[in-house]
Amino acid sequence: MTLSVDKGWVTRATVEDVKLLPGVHREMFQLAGGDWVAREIVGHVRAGRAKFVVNSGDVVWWGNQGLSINDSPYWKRLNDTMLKLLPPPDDEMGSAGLEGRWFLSVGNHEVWGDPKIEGTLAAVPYLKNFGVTPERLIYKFDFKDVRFIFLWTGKYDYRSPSLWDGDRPKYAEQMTQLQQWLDEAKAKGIKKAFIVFHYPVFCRAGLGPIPEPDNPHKVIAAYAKDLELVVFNGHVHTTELYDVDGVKYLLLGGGGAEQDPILPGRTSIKVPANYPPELYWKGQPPREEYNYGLVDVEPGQKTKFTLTRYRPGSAEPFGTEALFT
Amino acid sequence: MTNSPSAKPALVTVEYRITAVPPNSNLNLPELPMTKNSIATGIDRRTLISGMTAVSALGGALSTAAQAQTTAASGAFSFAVCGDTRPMMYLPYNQGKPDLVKLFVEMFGLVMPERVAEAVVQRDVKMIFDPAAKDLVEVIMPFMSTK
Repeated sequence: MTLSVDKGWVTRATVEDVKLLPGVHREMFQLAGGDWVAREIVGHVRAGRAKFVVNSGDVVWWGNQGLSINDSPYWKRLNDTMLKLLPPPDDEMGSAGLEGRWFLSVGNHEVWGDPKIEGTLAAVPYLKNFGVTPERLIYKFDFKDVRFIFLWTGKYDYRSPSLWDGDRPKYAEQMTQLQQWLDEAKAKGIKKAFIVFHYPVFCRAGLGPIPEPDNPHKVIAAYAKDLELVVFNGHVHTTELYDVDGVKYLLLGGGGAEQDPILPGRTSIKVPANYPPELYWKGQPPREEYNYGLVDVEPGQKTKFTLTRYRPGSAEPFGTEALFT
Repeated sequence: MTNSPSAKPALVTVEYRITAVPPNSNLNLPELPMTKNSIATGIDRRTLISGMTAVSALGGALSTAAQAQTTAASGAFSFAVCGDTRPMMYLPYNQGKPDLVKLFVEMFGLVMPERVAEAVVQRDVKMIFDPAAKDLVEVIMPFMSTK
């Protein structure tokens, strides 16, 4: 792998398959991709097209080079390209208890070298209002009669890289909490819920999905008859879509990280014959792509999803498409 | 029988409001002629007054409908969503900074024991610095695939 560096930042990463394709350097990362995503999203929020931002996690590399916006190059970059550019919350958000416009589920990179999530709590301190602490990394809020739930899937373990080993709280306790929050939503007459956590429930590439028995699909799907349920995941650095048992899953791994599932040997993993169909690449191998979604919520209507993408090296580098249509 | 300037604006208003009635509306409105000529020839004072009353009622109905629509729309909102937005590593880039090797060892340490990681970094990670500016410009390192 060859990393190009400018002012300390890896700006491009290419990989040469020395056995199968010697001499050919395939690009799997460019720093411009993530910056483009950030600029687009900030533009949409500032223009009023999007009220706030939901991120499914892995927003910094690690905490080993600093923990805050002041001493971490990663948190500083996130602040410079996103957080400080977002306008303050409006009255509607304020009355819903939202004191910021950026909400994340904690990913494994946020706890790498920062087990107490000091960086996260310093950058977005308003998460503490929802009960987030170093010992409790999950939270929920309601906005306009829609429930948002953020869970914590765990730190990285190379022996099982998508295992739900989150321990604050543990999986079983998180599922109990999830059920309680969804039951409460139902009781309040809420019709829609978005559930955000980092590791993917369904996945056909790269690191693969959360293995059983701690895969939450059945717990979530049990509520699909009463609520419109959408799950946002990440972790595998590519984009995949699933619609399973009435639950929509958006695996949003194209926000800026290296797109390693495009590399030989990683484009697909072995899945059972009856595995749910993937609805984005639809059987084609994934490509280097940076993207984000806009979610339009309207009472009484099916939620609409629009994805906008940048594919470096493509004959059609920019595109927008409606999802799940 | 003439199109008097004083009557015309009211009639035009009536005509416009009527066209604004949504299809299948249940409002019980008087049928009003829709052409300028027929308005001019067919309308009398009674029709005009009842038409204006209807317009007033319709205006209220439309206002209520608009309010309902606003209420429905007020529950609507949009948000942006994304994931895996982190960049790759930041590497202190001035030549001679000892942190670089340490950083690579820490990174490789995620997937292998630290002692092995140290050996891999020493053996396989090549750093290239700009000869003039002395800045790190390229790193060549192993990348292991799953197959």
